[in-house]
Amino acid sequence: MTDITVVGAGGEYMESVVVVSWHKTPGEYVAAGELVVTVETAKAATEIEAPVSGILADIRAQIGEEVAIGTVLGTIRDGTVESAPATAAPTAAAVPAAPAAPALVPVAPPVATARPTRINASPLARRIAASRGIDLSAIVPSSPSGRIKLRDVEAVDRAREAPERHSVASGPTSPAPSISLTRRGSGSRTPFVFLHGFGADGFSWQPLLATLGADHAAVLVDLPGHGRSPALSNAGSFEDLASAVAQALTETGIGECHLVGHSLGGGVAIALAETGRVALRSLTLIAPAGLGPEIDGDFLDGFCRATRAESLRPWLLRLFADPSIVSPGYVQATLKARGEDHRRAQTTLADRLFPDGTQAWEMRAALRRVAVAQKIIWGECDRIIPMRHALGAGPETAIHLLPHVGHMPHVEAPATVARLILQNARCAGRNGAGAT
Amino acid sequence: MAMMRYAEALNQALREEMQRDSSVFLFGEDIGRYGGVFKVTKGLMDEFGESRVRDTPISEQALAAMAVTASMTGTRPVLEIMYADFMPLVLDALINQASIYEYLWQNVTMPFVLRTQGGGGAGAGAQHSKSLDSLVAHIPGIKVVAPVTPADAKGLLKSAIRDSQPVIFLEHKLLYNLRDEVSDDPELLVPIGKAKTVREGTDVSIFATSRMVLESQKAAELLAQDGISAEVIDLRTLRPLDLDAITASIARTHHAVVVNEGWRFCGYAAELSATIMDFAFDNLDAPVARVTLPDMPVPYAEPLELSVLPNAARIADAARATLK
Repeated sequence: MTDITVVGAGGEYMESVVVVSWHKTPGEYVAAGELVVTVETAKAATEIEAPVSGILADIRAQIGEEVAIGTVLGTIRDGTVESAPATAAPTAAAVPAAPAAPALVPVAPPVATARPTRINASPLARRIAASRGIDLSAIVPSSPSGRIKLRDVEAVDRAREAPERHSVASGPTSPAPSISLTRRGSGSRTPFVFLHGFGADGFSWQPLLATLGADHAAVLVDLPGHGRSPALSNAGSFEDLASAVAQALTETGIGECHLVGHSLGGGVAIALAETGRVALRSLTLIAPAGLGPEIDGDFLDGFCRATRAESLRPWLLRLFADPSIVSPGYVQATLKARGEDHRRAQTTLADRLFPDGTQAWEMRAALRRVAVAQKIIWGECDRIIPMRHALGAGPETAIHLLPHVGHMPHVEAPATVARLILQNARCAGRNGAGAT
Repeated sequence: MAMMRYAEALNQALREEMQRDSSVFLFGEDIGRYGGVFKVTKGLMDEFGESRVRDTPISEQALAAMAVTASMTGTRPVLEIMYADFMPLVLDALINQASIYEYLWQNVTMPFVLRTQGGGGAGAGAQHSKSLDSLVAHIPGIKVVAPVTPADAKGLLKSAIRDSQPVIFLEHKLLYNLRDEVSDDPELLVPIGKAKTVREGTDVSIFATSRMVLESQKAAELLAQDGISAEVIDLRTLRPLDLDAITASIARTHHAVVVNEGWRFCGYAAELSATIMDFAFDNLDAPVARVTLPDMPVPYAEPLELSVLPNAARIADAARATLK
């Protein structure tokens, strides 16, 4: 029996080698000087030749294994071929044996198949969570880095200590208005929540949903005084609307979401983020309100006053870059979706949020405090709110300007907008601990 | 106490130590008759004579070897290298002589000081604006200090001269005219290896040396406007590091920003960052943020130079990012 070892073959600094490949299988004949195994040192692959002729008896260092210099990689025993059926008489010549049964252990080291995804948490958060018995896997990171920080652990700790106080403190004092939420799809990932613009309703997201994919459920909100939601009698700010939406989401069990808001819904989305009552994973704003004083007051007045197709159509045309979207059917559908009660409620709401054709509520500072992945999407042909308002966002907000699109990017360019929303969600979830 | 410029504080330290100890002598390019290009050695040749304040030819490599060997014979030489940019010329004396002679021969001490100045912001161009802290801080057996205030400049230079090991004394060309109170007490030393908390805070720790301490203090002001409480630690000594001060601060704030005017890759900030992870990992709530010069030459044109040098705004941005 002769050992196959590697002795200083790779140079004087070599301490260990990694076995790259065996060129013979156990039982196979190998002649002295013939290549038997290749090892890799820090410098290069080195071929180890058989020290003697014989049969490769066993392989002790498997492929991928790192062994110290001098380790026995395998052994060669005397003989010419594998002792086989007695009929196969040994010959003196170097006859290659018939392919022996492969004796190699699996090439790759056994990578655990069910290895759990590593939770991304700061060392401090990890240490504190461990000391307080808090399960990191249940925590949604608040940082855009997707890393669980101390504050996230402490929030869980606080909630655990005083759950009642938490809900009482954050709930509105007035009775909950009933907000209509429509859930589409049943994707397992964190749902998208959509907040529509002024005068629209949850149904306005329909064109976009087709290209949004099935991974995420979509929750379509009808803001107060829109669609199937009754008006909120005293709604006078984005915060009032956001509070109502937050309550509806919480009651429905939606504790975290990717939030998408258009125009008025954009301002409400920022306000919703400020409440902290729903954990946001990402925020996508489409031509949002709240980022500057200008808004097309004539549009608001005309839109609110219109009770007939003839008076409504010119104002709807102003929403789009492509006039062909505003078909007679579209005008009729818009008119029908908005009953007289809603028209009055919307008129009141417009007067409070946008008095005298001015956006009275400033959300720029609030937007800059939002600490999740965020995008602003704006049509370059927007005639309702100037797209330069996007510049009021912070340096970490991605701004996407869509050419040949007006105030309704999700209707005029639904595929692009859906793609951007998904990108934002993926971006938020890339380092996230939970499912996105 | 007296108000004086940083350069004057250094001058006073040199004078006091030369008066106290006759083995202290100065040499370097233009330090005698001319008083030094930054006037740190002004008037010293008149007071102490040409044998203790020596003008030398331009030969940094020879000068550094002279500092090593002169210090081995029992004197305390203080060598001035005009610009830190020329430090590569002295590295052989530091790395292959000063750093290892005590190890090779045991009974040897090398109590010399090598003063130099670096840094950008003066429109001095790519060959006269570098911060090569990491080159010298890399060498074992050599101490490196970089004070920012006139008082620390004086106190640390006196400590450096009295130290039995080689000390590299890093000055900054934009600090020489900085005025502040300095003690007249000739025995008031600032210990090597002790950091100083120049602003207390609770949210994030900013570690800096030399001029970057001033930028860090401005950054802390900016952060305070956002309601962020930043602690600013002036390390004062680059090597040996005041580990206690560093870890104690991070134990309070859990967030660290390290600032250095030198290059990023393999730079001093990288060493600080790694050290923090070695000794304070479990107290970190975010990765250590580094604010450095990008890996490029310092441009000559002012707008370009300002666009690459670390400054208060960049430090504040880095602090905000770690806190997100």
